[in-house]
Amino acid sequence: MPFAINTAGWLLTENGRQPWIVQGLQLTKDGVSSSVSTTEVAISIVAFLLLYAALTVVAAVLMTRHARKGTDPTEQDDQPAPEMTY
Amino acid sequence: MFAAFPGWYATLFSGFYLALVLLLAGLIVRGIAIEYRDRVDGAGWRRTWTMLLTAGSLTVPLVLGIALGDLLHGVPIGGDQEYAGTFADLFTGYGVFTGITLTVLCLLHGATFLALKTSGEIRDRAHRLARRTVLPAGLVVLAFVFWTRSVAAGGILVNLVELAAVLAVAAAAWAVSSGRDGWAFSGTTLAMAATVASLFTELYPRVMVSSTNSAFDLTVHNTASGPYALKVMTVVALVLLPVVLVYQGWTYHVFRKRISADR
Repeated sequence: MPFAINTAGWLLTENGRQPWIVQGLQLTKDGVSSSVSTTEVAISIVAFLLLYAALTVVAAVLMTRHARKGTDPTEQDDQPAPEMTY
Repeated sequence: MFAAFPGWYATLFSGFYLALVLLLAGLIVRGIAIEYRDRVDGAGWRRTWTMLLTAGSLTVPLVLGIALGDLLHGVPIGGDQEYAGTFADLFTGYGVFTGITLTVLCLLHGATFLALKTSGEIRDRAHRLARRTVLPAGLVVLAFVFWTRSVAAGGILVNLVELAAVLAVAAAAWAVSSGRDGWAFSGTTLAMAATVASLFTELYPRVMVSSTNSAFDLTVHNTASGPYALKVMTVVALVLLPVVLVYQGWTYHVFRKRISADR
């Protein structure tokens, strides 16, 4: 939930500000970089989408594994906190 | 750079767009790999993340080096200060060599750092790696310095920063071969700093060279913000930079001891 709300808030501010990129000072269409092509933008969006999708899967798997293990009281309490060894 | 030289920032980040996406991906994968590598017991899992960690860690200095080298070598920039080339135009010979130089230096620097910070078998391996990389690193830095001079058309006589880079890597070579971890790490630190700094000393007052026409070169003058923004920036930097340096130094002080592999 916090992730969803955080992202939603961001989407709201970014969309709500349009067509301005800086409210009252510069329009988004005037701020577009002329030397970055649409293809390049598409490549970057797809690349980050794939990267984050892969990381989401890995994170989900790890969290599920961690949750499945549960909290085994004997394992948790008997072991002293690992000490730093130098 | 964003606030003080917006003209430079705009041209660089738009022109090097895909390269910087790659850099960012490398940094993300590298950071995640360090975090996840230890999360599941299993040789396959560990091997995968080790591979990704290596790939990400190689990407970062290579891309950064190519980008830095391109600043001095020059890329197509028009009179409107806009990048006019393609992604392939970024792979200039000098740029790629700068990337290789930084990558080799990072490898050596990592080895001397590990030799300084660890003990036992890992330390032995770091020593071996440092001994193997230090000579190639020295040759690469020497070649880099002369290539930098020739790209900048500055004649054969190197400047002080370039001399420092060569001397630092020579000192590191001596320290590595005589097993002085502290001096070896100091040497590679200085070599890295001086190598990057020498590029900027040759650039100044330019910040990004145009291969189209030297009249279109980006300089500290034609890309700077207004005087007020620069004044604010100076004050902010003077106040915050020491704070950042202190807490960075503090973290290194806290973790100053050698670590060992057994937990």
